[in-house]
Amino acid sequence: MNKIINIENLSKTYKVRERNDAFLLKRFFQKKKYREVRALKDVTVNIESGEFVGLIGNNGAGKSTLIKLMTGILYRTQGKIEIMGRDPFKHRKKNNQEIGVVFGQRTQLNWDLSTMDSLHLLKAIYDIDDTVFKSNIELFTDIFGMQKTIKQPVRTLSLGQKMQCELMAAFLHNPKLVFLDEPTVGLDMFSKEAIAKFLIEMKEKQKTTLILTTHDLEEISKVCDRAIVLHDGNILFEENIQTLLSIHNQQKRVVFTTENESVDPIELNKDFTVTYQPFKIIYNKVKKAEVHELIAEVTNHCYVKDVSIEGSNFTDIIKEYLRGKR
Amino acid sequence: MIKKLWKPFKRKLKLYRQYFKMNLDELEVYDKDFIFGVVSMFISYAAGILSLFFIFDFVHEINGWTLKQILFMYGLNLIGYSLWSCFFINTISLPYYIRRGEFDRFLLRPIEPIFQIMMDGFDEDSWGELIIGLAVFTYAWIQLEISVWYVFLIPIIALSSCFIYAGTSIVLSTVSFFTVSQADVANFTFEIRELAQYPITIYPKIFQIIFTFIFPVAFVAFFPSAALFDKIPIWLIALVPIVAFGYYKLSKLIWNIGVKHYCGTGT
Repeated sequence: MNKIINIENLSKTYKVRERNDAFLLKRFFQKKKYREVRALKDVTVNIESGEFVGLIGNNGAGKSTLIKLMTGILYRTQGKIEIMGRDPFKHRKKNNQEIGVVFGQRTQLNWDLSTMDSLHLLKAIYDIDDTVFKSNIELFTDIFGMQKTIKQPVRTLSLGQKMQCELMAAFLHNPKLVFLDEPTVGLDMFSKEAIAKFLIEMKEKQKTTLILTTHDLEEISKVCDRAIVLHDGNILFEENIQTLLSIHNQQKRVVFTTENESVDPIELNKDFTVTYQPFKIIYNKVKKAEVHELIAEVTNHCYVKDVSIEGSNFTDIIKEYLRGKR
Repeated sequence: MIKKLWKPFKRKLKLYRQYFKMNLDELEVYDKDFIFGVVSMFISYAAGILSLFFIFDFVHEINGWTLKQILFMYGLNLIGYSLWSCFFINTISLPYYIRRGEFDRFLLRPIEPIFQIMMDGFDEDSWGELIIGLAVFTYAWIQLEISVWYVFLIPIIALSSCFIYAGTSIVLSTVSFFTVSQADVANFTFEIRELAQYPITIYPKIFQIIFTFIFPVAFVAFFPSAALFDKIPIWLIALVPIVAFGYYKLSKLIWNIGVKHYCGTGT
């Protein structure tokens, strides 16, 4: 496997003008004060070709800056960054030939014309072969079921359809590397599902490498192999998502719904944490192997109407990591 | 060897064709807007030309230039300007793209951002300006009885002036890479057009220098007309395409410095 993205000790510092509270006219003649904001601090990341990576972080954690540095829109302050073996800033045009980007809030489709018209323009811009162009359009419209919709003016499409068209535009030239920044904001669950399906298909068929940022963490856990969590310009941690899920699902949360409003406390010689609520007993941090025993004990003790065993999902896990960091 | 040279050229040709098609398709969507645009343009220019006749009711010449000669300049200037307006007018939209954060989109594609901006919107209304320019120019040409043989010079001069305007608007819009402000300095290109339709000798020295060396709009209409009217040696016309080409190239270099600054600060 070869590295498609190689970042070492990357930093980016912005200069931000400090607010001056002096009287308006006076402000014009005073020296401007600047404050340095370190958007990224010593970030080191390696991404293998063909990997799907979810970039996670609160607003302002440095996700967009990182993407801008990787696409060559921004110039680094310090450190090393290599995308497909090249400096993304110096070789921006060359790299862009093999990169696809969707910024959720911005469009690369012409509003007044049909998606097909815009795709034809992209064909000329990326110098795409006729055969590749045809087969890709066929493949994409099949996945999304949009054979007719792509001939409609973009203006008349729904938000979900527009985003699906944006994805077609980003993947049209068979890019090796694709960046998706918040592609599913405001979309309904079916559109989200269609997009997830499309991305997984691209991973298998085109061997694309994907960097995805979104605040919908379940989506990342569905699509991506690895999660990178950014916080305040640093990488908080990076981990394979399946590993992360299995580690955290060693412990369960067990909730009993009881017949009586309150029950006498049950004595168990275990280190569970217990909370009693009206009609409910909740056990946290129950090890997988002990769930059976616990249920037996409690059902013995009182009349139980319902039991639910909950694992923590990806969102909970990430939340746990980020809590206290705010 | 030839194949190697031919390939990028062919690609560019394809790009042009696709962008043209797109712009025309867009035009068709707003066809009524197009018609009204052309009509209103006709009216505003008719008023401008009438005012020239009005001025020459009181004076016989301005700085040694007769009405017909001024009309000749006016027409020539308008032809070059309308070509610029059709193909390059979007270069003045740079501040708009930067403020809306849309400039990044151009940086993400494998072709020059400046080319994409130019192609992103044509102003088809300026076909009206071109027609008016040609009409006034032809009228003055016949009235002044200039030799027919010079007709061959016209496409060269017109194209050159188009590129001088392009260079000017590119240089002016570069400012917005540094300021990211509301002030659209690039709109100054419109004012320059108004100034370029009169002989630069009527302006103070400092403006003559600016219009010759900094924004060389004197080469758009003044120098070619003066040469054709034997006010300066005719061979000086050869300077026009040279200045145009050089200035356009230079403007792109300046523009690239702006792009670099933009990428460094991430405004």
